[in-house]
Amino acid sequence: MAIDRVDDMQVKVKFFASLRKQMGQDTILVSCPEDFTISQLLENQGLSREDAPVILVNGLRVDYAHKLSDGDVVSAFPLIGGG
Amino acid sequence: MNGWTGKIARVNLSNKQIQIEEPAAELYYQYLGGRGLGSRILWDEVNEKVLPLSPENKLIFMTGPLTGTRVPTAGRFAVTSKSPLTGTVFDSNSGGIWGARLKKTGLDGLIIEGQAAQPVYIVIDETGIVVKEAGRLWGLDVPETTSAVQAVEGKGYSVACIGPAGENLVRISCIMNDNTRALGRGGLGAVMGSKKLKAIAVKGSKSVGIADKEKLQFVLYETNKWLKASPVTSQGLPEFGTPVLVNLFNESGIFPSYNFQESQYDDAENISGETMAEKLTVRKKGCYGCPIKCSRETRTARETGAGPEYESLWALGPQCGIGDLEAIAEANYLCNRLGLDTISVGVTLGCAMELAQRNIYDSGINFGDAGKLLQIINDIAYLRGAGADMAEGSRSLAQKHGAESLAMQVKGLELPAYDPRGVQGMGLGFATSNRGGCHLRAYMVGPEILGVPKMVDRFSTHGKAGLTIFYQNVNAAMDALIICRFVGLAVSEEYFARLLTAVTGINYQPQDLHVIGERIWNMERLYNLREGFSNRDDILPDRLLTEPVKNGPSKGHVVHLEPMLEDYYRFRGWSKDGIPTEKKLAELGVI
Repeated sequence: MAIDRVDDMQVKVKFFASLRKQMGQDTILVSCPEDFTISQLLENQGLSREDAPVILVNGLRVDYAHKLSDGDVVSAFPLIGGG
Repeated sequence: MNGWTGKIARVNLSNKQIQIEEPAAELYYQYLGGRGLGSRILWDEVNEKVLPLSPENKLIFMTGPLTGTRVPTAGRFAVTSKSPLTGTVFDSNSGGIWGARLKKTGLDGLIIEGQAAQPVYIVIDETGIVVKEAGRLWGLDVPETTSAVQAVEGKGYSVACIGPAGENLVRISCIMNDNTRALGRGGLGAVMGSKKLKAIAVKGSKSVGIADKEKLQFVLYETNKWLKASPVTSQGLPEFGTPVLVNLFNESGIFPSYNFQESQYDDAENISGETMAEKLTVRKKGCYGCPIKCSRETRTARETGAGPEYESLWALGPQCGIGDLEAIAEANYLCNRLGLDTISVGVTLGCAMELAQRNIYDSGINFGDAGKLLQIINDIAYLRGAGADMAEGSRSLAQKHGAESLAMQVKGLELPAYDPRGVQGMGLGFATSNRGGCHLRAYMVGPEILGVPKMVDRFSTHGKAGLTIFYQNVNAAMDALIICRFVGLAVSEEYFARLLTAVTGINYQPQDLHVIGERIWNMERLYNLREGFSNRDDILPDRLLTEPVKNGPSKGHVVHLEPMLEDYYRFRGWSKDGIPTEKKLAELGVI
């Protein structure tokens, strides 16, 4: 069996609002290779950018090119607002 | 006139005179209505010598040109007065249906002056305006008052009223309408109570004049399409209500807890929108003409009621170190029944709890005391025991015990559910708001957290002044039209201008709304300056300026207010001391 990537890191991904129903769960642990980007993570989870336009890593807003580090906590939200 | 009815009723409760007045058209065109017209009338008629709870203060109920039309959310109305909590010009606005019903009687608004000798209520319908004695109503809570008035007048009457809190002149009391909608902030309930005015019942069905029906039809079609297309207004809010924000702000580390001693809350999940949808929500509800339906009808094991909304959830929850969703919901229901501002109640309680934590003053309630909430809230409304001091608000409570810095307020108004150390623009907004610590004047978490309309760095002070001013102006215009903030989550002021033009027949461009908003803002500033406020009051609690956030994503940050304020005054065309220049006031036609 060919191994095409080495998953050195683990990140926690939390889903919120309607994403929970869409993903069927609140929180998952994802194993991924070093320098995995948010873009790749979303693709890996079957999510489009439109599904999850608001992504925080450790509570700070990042863009889709952001590279993850081991132990990061990713919080994914649909577009929400209010007051 | 189209949009406006052109008529305002002046009701004097001292001499029982009722007059119908027709304000100059220019006044409508320049200030629109709602908060705008309210601030102008207050400037003209309630000067610095007037005490807020005296007969000389006035309560100005005002709709806008869009109220009662088919524009989404066009049922709102505003009430403006001099606040007994802040001493500033103070407006609050509310949804439900009362505003639409008032407009459809043929009135744009009401000016209530004087003071009744005995409790009264007012009935307004297409036959006229009558002041009736309200002896039987005095002492009743909000739902009891509403039922009692409707039993006499008819179910078709929408009722705005105060509960026992307003009757007892509680400075953090509010005016409620349609049972569960609130003109929440600033102690307007106490002003109404000081006039011995228990309720105003309205019923009307006259159509609002529309200048260009075809054009309105088209712009409405577009506006409603945008409301449906935006995930915020068509999914997030209808599905979860405003509590959907709990997890976002907690994850971001801007969710204050324990009286702003922390900026996250461990049990946020328990009180989140997601959990509420699962455990409490019975169904969603909307105001008059609203397709969004952000409100919740909810149920605990013991009761049913409305809400809690995001702010209330926070104030009665993490702000007090409480994570018991049912206890928070029931405290919210109680505040609604008694007519109390949930934000001010929660923040005042949190202040009392920290006073106890630090052994400065023990009022008998500590952080986490979910089981004591109902008792203390009743004590506040009925001025019993420690509740009597809390009824004056957090600043007064803290000052009394020599610990003013523990009151999380600006200009006397308790701060809402955002830690500005993690969102610099909100800090500027709180400090410069004309009504005190308020999140609605300029909702900077839009760009700073949600990234709407564009992402800005929440920890930076750059560019915050310009954006804050933009929102303060646009939001003031929205509060004059009157249209709900949440419509603004889907469409821009371009749509508001087109809607206003179609309804009134007067050509308003988006830029005109910015100017009107700026005019209203400067009018309010001028009012406060006349009251004796100055740039020294454009400030934040010490904690937020000098104590770095201890934990979480906002760790290490404080609010850097000075650089933002400097820019703010300059961009507003004010002096370095924050005083509108003669040039600016003349340009806006304020003087």
